[in-house]
Amino acid sequence: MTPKSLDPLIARAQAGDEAAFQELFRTYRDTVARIVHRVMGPSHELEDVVQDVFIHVFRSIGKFRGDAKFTTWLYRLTTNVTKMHLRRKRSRPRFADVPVPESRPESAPVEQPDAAAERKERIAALYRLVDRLSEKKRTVLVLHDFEGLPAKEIAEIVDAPVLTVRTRLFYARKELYATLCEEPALAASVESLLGARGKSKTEAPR
Amino acid sequence: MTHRPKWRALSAYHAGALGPDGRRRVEQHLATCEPCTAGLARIEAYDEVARTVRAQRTPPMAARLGAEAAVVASLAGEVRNQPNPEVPETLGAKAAALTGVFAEAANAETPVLDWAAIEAGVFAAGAAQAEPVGPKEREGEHEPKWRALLAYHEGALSDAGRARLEAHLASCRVCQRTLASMGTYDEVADALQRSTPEVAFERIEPSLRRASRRPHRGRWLATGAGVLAAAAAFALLVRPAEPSVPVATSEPVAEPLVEEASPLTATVVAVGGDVRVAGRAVDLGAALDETDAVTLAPDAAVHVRLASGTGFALAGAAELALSRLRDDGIELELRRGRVQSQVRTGTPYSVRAGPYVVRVRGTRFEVRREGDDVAVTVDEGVVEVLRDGALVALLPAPAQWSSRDGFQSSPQGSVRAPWGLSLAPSEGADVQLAPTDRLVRWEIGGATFVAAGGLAMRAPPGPLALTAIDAQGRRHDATVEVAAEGALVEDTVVLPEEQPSRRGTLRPEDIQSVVRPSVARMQRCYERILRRMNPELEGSYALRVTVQRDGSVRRVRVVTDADAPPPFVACLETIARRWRFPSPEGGPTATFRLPLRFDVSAH
Repeated sequence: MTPKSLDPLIARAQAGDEAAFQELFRTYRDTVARIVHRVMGPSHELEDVVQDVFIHVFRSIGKFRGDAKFTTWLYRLTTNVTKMHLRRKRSRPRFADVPVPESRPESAPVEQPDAAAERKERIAALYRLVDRLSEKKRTVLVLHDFEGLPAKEIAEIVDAPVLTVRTRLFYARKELYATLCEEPALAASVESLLGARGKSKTEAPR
Repeated sequence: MTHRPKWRALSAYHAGALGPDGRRRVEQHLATCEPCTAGLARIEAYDEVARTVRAQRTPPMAARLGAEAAVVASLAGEVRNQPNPEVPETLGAKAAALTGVFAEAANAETPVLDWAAIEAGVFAAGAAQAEPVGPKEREGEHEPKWRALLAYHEGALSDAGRARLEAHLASCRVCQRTLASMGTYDEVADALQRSTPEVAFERIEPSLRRASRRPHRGRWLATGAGVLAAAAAFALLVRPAEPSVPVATSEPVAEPLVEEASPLTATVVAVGGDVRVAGRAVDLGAALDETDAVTLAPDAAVHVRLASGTGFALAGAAELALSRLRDDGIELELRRGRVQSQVRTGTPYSVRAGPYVVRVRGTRFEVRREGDDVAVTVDEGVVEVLRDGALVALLPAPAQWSSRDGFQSSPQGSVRAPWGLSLAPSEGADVQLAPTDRLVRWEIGGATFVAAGGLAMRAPPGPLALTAIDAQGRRHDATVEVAAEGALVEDTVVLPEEQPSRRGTLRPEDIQSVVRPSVARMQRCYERILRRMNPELEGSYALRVTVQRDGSVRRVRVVTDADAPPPFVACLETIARRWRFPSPEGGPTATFRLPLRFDVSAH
């Protein structure tokens, strides 16, 4: 959706056009689900949070003045609602993790079950480490490294200078790198990379 | 303050691994630094010893060992005399280790020593222990060169910088490991970027739509039959006068959204028999909202998930209203019967029963109400019983209390957790247990269901253990495999197929007279699915119905050539199970097939 076609849609939604809300939901539901998924990690509460985000979107859209991009506004609201859920989750005791199936992109090559299981375990392990980060560092890391947003846009979303975003990103990564080997699934990858590096020391980094 | 030798730089210098700049800087430093000059001398001394020993490939072993041990001991002794307090232990241990290796080699028939490994090991240990320790470094641990490694990893270093870092990497295991961690992190982050979440949006839309039915949000109620109800729901949700609504403005806000009471949606995760909300039959997967009241027939049961780890089970002739369903508090009103609850710790949760309020935060308990009499059984945690706001009883598990008899003892395990609380709305498959008169009840995961009315439940794909109890009280265990698309379970999984007996018949006109009044209701099942799940659902279906001696429906199965959504199948089966036919003629049971055709173009 281009901003050109987006503006009238938001205006209609702000005016209470019922069809516009449905269109808004269908247009942005994948984006919202993806951000929630990225910020929360594997979770069985994904749908609850996505639903909550849209309830907040519909309640608050009247306040959107268009000073920022709608997607930036949506990202900010989504990350804030997700953080609220994370805070509540942290205040509760942890129950056994429920594995959440992740769908595979249509174009992705067919993955062997073992490889898929390993990949999921690595992602789950990474999120266990991400869970240890402070909320601010986590948000920046997720939006930058997992969602691929530029630092400038993240700065708008988290309401912080770009330099602060970069600093948080640096320290978030540093904490992750330092603890990566505490997770066996990731330590195995590190060891295999070390082995590969030992074999080809002259190979240049990316 | 004592200056400690720059062991790593000196080692690199000695090994000729520094670039011209590095070499010049070390030489400039050496010109004025006595400890580093002494350190370099020690490195050279060791190197010389090592070279000498390597060169001596022939015995006499004893003489060689003696000479080497003396040199090593002397080296260790020299080091011990240095003022640096961190060095002696390290190199003392190093010398001892080296002597041990020598002794071991001397005793071996063929003295083969991996000198390169020994040297590298000794120097790595020595350097790691003895090199200058910065403010952020701990003893025995080299702090990775984070910024340089990141720049290197991202390809942002100049050729010279890259060469220097690679020289460092060649001998620094810590930095090698950090670099490998960066690679691993990138790999997983890439995999994560490619992964997309699986969300059943069709489950979210109805929840938003149902919110519109709340009276205080009626402003934007759908105005035309042609307008999808979902859109109306969305409109209702933007009503600006809503109290305590967090507002996201178009300007960046420093404060995060204020945590407020978001509505929860209750989901039916298992239903057996006749369960109704506002007169409508409740299907598996149905969402219940605040203010909804659930009514059960005597043989019915329903298990409802309110939030992750929290939910309730109703059985028998019970009636319960969902007075408040918010994430900051759940309030149920038990009008009659009993409700068993499992509450995740931290969730404010209360059950009002007549004048009493049973309040908890994380526990498993049951409340029964018969008229004005209220009984509470606590199986886990602690509950408070209040009346008019005053504490009447505080019940730590296991405990039982009743408004008539006060405290009573209670065996542990008398309250079962509701089914399916750990399943998110999008998870699990629909499992249908066909109604049967050959069994009295099903026991599944601690939950009990009357078998006669059939049962629909959400269950995780995979093996599902079932226990069936027949009329003679015998228990029959079975495990069925629940596929991703669900499972239909007949009583034959635990009981052998009945012997074929004489088949009875029903007259076509009798069938038509019973079935015809239900056509409109079956049509509504179809329209509901069109609206909620699949706007293009079409196909040929047939109901295979078995009528027993008293004219009631013993078994019904939907046969289809299309992908029938489980709620649609369940809806049709629920209707068919209520049919009452004349008694079959010529045999105890009669089976007929009722073809149905649903076509979206008719709408």
